[in-house]
Amino acid sequence: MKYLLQNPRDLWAGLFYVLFGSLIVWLGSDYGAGTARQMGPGYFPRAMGAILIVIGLCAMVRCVQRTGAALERLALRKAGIILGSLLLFAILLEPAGLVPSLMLLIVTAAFASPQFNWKTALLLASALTLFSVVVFVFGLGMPMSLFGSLSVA
Amino acid sequence: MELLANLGLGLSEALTLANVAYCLGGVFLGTAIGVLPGLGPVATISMLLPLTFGLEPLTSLIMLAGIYYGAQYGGSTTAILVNLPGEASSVVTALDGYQMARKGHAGKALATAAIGSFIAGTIATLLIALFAPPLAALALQFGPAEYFALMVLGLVASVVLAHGSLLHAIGMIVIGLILGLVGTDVNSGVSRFTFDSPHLSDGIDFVALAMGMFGVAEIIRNLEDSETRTIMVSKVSGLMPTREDWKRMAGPILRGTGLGSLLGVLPGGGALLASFAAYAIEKKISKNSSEFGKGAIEGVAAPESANNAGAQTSFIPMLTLGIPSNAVMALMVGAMIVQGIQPGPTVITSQPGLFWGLIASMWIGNVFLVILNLPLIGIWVRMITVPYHLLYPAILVFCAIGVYSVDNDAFGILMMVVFGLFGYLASKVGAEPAPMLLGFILGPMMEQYMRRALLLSQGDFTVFVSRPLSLTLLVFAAACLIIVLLPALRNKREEAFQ
Repeated sequence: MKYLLQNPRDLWAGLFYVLFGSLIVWLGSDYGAGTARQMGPGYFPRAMGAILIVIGLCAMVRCVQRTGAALERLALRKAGIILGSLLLFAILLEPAGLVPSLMLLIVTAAFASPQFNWKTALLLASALTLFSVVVFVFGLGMPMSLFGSLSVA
Repeated sequence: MELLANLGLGLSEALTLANVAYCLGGVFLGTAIGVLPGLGPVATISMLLPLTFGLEPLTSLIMLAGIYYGAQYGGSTTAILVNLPGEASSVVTALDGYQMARKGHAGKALATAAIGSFIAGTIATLLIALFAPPLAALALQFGPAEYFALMVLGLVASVVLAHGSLLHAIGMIVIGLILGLVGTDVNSGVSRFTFDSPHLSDGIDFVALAMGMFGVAEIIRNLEDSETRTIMVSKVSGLMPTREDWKRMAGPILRGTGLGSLLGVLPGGGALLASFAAYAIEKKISKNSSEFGKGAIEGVAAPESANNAGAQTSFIPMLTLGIPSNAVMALMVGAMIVQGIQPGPTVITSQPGLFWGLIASMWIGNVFLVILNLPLIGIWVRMITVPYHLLYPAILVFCAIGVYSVDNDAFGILMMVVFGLFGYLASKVGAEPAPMLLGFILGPMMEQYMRRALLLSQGDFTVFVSRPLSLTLLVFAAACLIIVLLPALRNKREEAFQ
């Protein structure tokens, strides 16, 4: 056990490769593998999945062989804020329209920075939203509604 | 004199008002965004890709190419002025360029970079014009087995010449290959790995993948380092190099161009390797080698010429063989596919206007780089000082809208989030995102070629080694792998990429 912990990067990566590869091999069994002469839809993916499993095992073996760098700390809060802001945008874009979604995206994303303050964030959000509306909707003609279903009286 | 006829055709295609305008626009946007901190050429191109989808094929490629070398030049500008290389291949430029800036010669350094890039670009464009047709003709003789072997070689070589752990690079390539297979299988009509989602039936949107892995993940990484950097920008004045400077520049520029052109064609090489190698070689043979690291003009001229030449010649494998040699070319391949053009050796013959038009526009783009950038230095300088906490929400906005606009589907944004997370976690583990993009683009193609090769050979796997060309390519690929795995050379490689 101790051996496995001396190379956390390779361990996690190896684990991921093995799991992902196995998933692909398993899912791929639904698609006919066919023969070498007539490759079915499952052939290549499962072969790739198998290769990935081998790579994962190599990585895990490497863990035992040598020490590697430790995993850097994960900035989970910041990652969560950024990714969450994008998700909010994705969810709200069609129902609420471009303007509210953009404002929310920008203000939420701005939280992730230690330089955040409300005034700057709101100013930035307004400026960027205005810019986007002008350039993307009016300038480039992208079919995005500005206020979505909120604009329906 | 077919060459002249071809170049003439190219110029006539490239010099239409629309193409010139988009070329200029691409170069300008590329430089502007390349100058901004934290955005390299790959992220820039991914962000601006959706804008080009509505354009004519040639126009969109012209604009993308313009963005590419614009972003490279933007990266060099920040390297010289602020010692913050905008992207990897400018790291070397920063060594002497920044020192020159500190001594008050920023203008000269920037001018050298621009001039070197221009001369390199001109020569490289000529080289492409000379060598691409014969190469494409050669490639037309390739069968599916050869193509498959070539792609394997391309992928392996791109890993060997790149930095980072070899094992993880291969792992990322394979993951990319698998992800490229998501969607409806062309041959059998079966939906693979789509979990019955209609959004995935056409496969994973490569724009979402690229923006997630290169844009969003990068933002999260940049935010980890939460100190604000105060950026001290040196004053820029006195642009023109003296006669003495010209004499010193000439040799390095030519050598850098030669080296860059050669290395640019190699997969994984391109601009990055070219600039490092050119600097190292120039330092060795220069009379003024003691000045290197303290502001030698050769130390800027050589890598800048090399990286521009490398950037241009890296188009060759993409345009003639349809094989991208680095992440940027992978994005170009993706863009071509979206435009309905299947990259490969037939492009030269079936779409000569497109091919030669693109090549001619590269030269035009280089002209714009020189003309545009020297006067606009003031603007670029101001852009460098944009604080990152104002910048990154803007990047997110462009990415989000861009991805959405591809299919008018918010699912793309979801994909981008997933890949953003994946890219971030991958970087923590020490895996690079670029090989995954290459694998993603090449995956479906590799499967096709393998399938065809095996069909023709009646299921006989030895076809890949019994055909001489295919065997040669695979042997090269194996040789690359062995070279990398040999301990002695492995250490050298790690040193080179410190």
